[in-house]
Amino acid sequence: MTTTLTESPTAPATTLALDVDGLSIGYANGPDAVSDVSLSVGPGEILGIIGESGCGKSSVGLSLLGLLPSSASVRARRMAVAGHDLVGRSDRDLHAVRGNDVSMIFQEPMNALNPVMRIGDQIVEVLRLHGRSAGRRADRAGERARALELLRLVQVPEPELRLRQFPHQLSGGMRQRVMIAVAMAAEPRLLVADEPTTALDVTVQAQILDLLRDLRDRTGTAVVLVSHDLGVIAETCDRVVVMYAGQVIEEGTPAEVLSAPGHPYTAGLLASVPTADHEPGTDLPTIRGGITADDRARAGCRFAPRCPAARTECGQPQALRPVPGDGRRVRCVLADITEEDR
Amino acid sequence: MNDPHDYLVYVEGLQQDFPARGGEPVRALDDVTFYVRRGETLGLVGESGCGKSTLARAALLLREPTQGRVIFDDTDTSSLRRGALRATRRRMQMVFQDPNDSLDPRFTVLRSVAEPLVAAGSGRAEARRRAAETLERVGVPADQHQRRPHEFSGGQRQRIAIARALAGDPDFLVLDEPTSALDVSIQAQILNLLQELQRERDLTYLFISHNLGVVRHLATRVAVMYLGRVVEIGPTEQIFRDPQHPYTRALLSAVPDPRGAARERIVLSGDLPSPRHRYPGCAFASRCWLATDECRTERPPLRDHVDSAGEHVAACHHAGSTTLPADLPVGPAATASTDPVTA
Repeated sequence: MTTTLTESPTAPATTLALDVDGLSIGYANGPDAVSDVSLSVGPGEILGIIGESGCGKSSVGLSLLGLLPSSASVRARRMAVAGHDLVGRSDRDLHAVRGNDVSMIFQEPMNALNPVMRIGDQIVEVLRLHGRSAGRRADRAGERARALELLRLVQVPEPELRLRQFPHQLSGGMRQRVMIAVAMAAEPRLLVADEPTTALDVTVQAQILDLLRDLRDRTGTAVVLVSHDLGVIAETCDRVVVMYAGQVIEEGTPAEVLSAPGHPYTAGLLASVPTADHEPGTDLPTIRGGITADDRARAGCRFAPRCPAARTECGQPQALRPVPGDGRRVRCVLADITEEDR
Repeated sequence: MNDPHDYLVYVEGLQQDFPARGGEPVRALDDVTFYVRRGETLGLVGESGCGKSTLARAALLLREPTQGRVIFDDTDTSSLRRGALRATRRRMQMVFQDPNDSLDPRFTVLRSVAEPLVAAGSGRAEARRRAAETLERVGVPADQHQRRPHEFSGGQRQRIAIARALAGDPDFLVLDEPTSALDVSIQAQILNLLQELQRERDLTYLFISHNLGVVRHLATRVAVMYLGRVVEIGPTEQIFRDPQHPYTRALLSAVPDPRGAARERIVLSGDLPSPRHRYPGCAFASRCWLATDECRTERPPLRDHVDSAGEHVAACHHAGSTTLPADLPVGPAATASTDPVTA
């Protein structure tokens, strides 16, 4: 019980927090929900995964903890968290990785917190589960001190009082903080956050996003932030991947991807968000049609049926290619054609 | 300029109390006054628990207010008898965030849209004809009218819910977060549809949303609510360019921008205080970085601080009195302590 969050993690600091190569996820029927996704997240890096319903972003998040239903088939060439490979591991091995190397926070904290257990006990349970405390009588004082330290880390006011409270006695924002404290209890190298602020009001959302960045700065924990909200991703992440119909279609820094999108889908998505740039009361640009399951089986560009710039080459499979002159990668035939030549 | 005959809806001094176990009632609405002009969209913003939805129900005459009244189309609805009240209610409709709240999963969508017309006294054939017409108008083709809600996507279901609200040809529509559950590319389609319908049918909207970008795009004027009170109200462009109430400023600054545009950032500490507590002064004082003793004891009235002839008003003792940007702490943790009643 002497470890603190500022102490250096067990794996060397240069090991990638997450290293995924060629991840595909399929469910019982139909085409794969996720196809050939590769992701890497450095220590202390915040990676955003953005996309609309059905793009596969949540499946990717869940697979990193081995939390997909048993009916899902997960294939990958490599899938390592903090240097520990997850591919082909038993549930028992995964159990050791979960919590120690990687943990997860969700949109709705009430689904993750135990409603009939005091906050303090929920944190202590995690400490014991992951060998941070032997759970003996003599360890009690240390456990309590550590629980308080964690609540302070996530900036919960009056932590002594909160230890004795139940989840229903807390506000939504406070519950989200407590869930983050529980997730951080075993000092994971990677925190997966799936829509962590979607159910919160904007002023509380701003607090939680600040907290995630602050945690990263203080503990070096890397974060994968899954969200449909372009603004949340833009303001929080160091790097962003855009997913469409199960594939990564664009990757780069938020400044690159969201200020000058390289893929027509990213561009369409950005244009349809009402901002100060749109003349009030005018029609917003839209993306025609919608995603269907068939799109995920398409050999060529999966966005082509909806794309305003589609051409015959789009029927051919498209690789995620580096864009000349910047650090980004785009899955589109137009990516290396300059704006003027289109 | 401000002619009460322009108002389709005028809500005056509305107060709504709900009984609470072992204590004073919760005051969900506290002296709320505003109007909605004919053919305009009033955007209503604020965070959960601020009373937006309670206000919507009161404006739709679905619940008798503890105090105050609603004047609809120059008629004081508090004096209406049952038959007349029903007729008035039919001129008002609501669209919810979740279309499933207004569609029966067992009915074909045509029946769901036709049903309120039948209830209002139309013949079956006539009701079906008008329902089909409305469904086609919102973008649901005739060959899909016999399907049930589960066979449609979320966006299509919201179109059907809009058709159901519109079929009876109402004048006033309350839209309660109508696009919050939709993907952004679908959201844009629904917002465009709502704008087209408003122009075509001369509709008046009360548009409730926590999404300020959406409100900015759609609303003619915006009302900002905090803890059961309207703290600021004015033309959309002015509210966004020159917000007067510190809460409005904080709210606007908290919206993340996809293109990372530079903006003032005020991160409020703490959560919304409990509505069970009564605040003699300004309800926002516990989280406000400008709060003085006056704010904690004297309730600020809605006043014009910007010479707008009463068009843009805010309830703040400090609005307009100082040059706010200069003495405003920005960045994380810019504010005072957490409110003690927060839990």
